[in-house]
Amino acid sequence: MPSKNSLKDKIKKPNATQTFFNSYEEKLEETEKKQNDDIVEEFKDKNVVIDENETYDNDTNVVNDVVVNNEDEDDDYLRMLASGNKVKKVKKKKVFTSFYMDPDLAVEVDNIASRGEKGDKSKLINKAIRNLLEQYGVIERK
Amino acid sequence: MICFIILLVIVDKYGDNNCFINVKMKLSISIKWGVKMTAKIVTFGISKGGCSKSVSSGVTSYLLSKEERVLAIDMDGQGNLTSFLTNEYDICNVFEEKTILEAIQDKDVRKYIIKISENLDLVPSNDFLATLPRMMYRQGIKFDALQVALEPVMEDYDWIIIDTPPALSEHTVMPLSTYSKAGSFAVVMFDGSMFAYYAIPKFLEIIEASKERYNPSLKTAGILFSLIDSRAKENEVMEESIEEEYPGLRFQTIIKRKAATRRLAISGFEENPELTNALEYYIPFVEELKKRAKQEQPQG
Ligand SMILES: Nc1ncnc2c1ncn2[C@@H]1O[C@H](COP(=O)(O)OP(=O)(O)OP(=O)(O)O)[C@@H](O)[C@H]1O
Ligand SMILES: [Mg+2]
Repeated sequence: MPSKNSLKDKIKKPNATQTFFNSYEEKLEETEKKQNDDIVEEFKDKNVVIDENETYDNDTNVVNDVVVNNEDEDDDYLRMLASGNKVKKVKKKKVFTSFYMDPDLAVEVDNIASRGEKGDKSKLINKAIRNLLEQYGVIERK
Repeated sequence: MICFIILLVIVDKYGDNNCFINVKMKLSISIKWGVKMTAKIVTFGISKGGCSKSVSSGVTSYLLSKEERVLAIDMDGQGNLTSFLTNEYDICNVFEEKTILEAIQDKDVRKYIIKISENLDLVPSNDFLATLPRMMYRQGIKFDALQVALEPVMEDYDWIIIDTPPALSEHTVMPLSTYSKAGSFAVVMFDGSMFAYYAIPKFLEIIEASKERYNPSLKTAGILFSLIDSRAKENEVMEESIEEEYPGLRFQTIIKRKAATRRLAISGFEENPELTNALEYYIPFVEELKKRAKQEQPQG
């Protein structure tokens, strides 16, 4: 009988597409971390304290003050998208997975996501499942 | 209208240092459509070999170029689209350091475009395209690299048609990740075989992942049945299965296997006495593709 953990690994084993895309996400994280470290270093020299939890816009290296990874902000952000507005936001790392959706939901979700930018579809799905699981008491309310 | 033309000439004169012919050509097309166009991107793919990706992307490029400006891009190191359109088979020597690989590295495709016919251009490839992943890794090149390289020519074409290799790789994901404000589309090739049938959901997943991570406005234009034997008994079952599994996704046109189509790689498009026969099924397909690409304009 294989150990519980090795069974778990087997069940959770990502498929090729997931592994391919995740490998790039990991690489991006490494570069981001390196860039963040560089910025921390830079600020250290100047004797300034900075919050490492802040997110950096990878392209511009600028600290973006609207972008802190905060549940309430996600909610506001998605609400604006849903109401047809265009907003700018930077995303955090996710695990790639796939599943079947009801066609009517898929259409609505795609409509909302097409008004935003990459990662917004995941954000919406995550938000919905998080709400449900909180309600079921599976995870704790943040 | 006259104001519009003058404006266009000014924009063109200062926008790029291309020759006057280019300005004239853009003008005639702009007048025809009333606006300066941006290219729609169509990527042909499936992670199963031999489903007619190269022939279909080549024939589609040719047919579209009858009325509109087309740039074909070969993202497969086999260089089949390159050979198909140029009739050149010694691609390693002839296109040495003149391929899409160098275009991506230079962040500008313009130097690597070769003219095939009046409205059809090509960025070729050869076996060295195998080094793309390593180059991306070493130089920190991301999946937006093709988009960056195409930026200067996006308004010079109505269509950018891309052939990909039969694999989950950078060569496939990069074109799918290439954004155009006029729309980016994927055509899923299917040869009616079991192997290809099981490759479809995998390729749709690659499309989804590219869409989610890099190109939110990417659309699946449809599943194209190609290389279909008229006499195969399982055709009908396959059509029904695809319709049940992916409702509305398949193109109504079915490209049947034809010797004249296969011989296009030998005889080419010029002075080919059996050309009409060779293109028979592709003509209605291209009409369908145009329609779908127009309907599915991304929002925003
Ligand atoms: N409609 C057709 N009728 C007859 N032969 C065809 C047709 N379409 C393609 N072929 C032939 O089938 C073979 C495979 O086609 P092609 O090379 O276009 O497939 P592919 O999907 O690009 O292959 P790969 O996965 O290796 O890139 C070629 O020999 C080609 O000439
Ligand atoms: Mg091919």
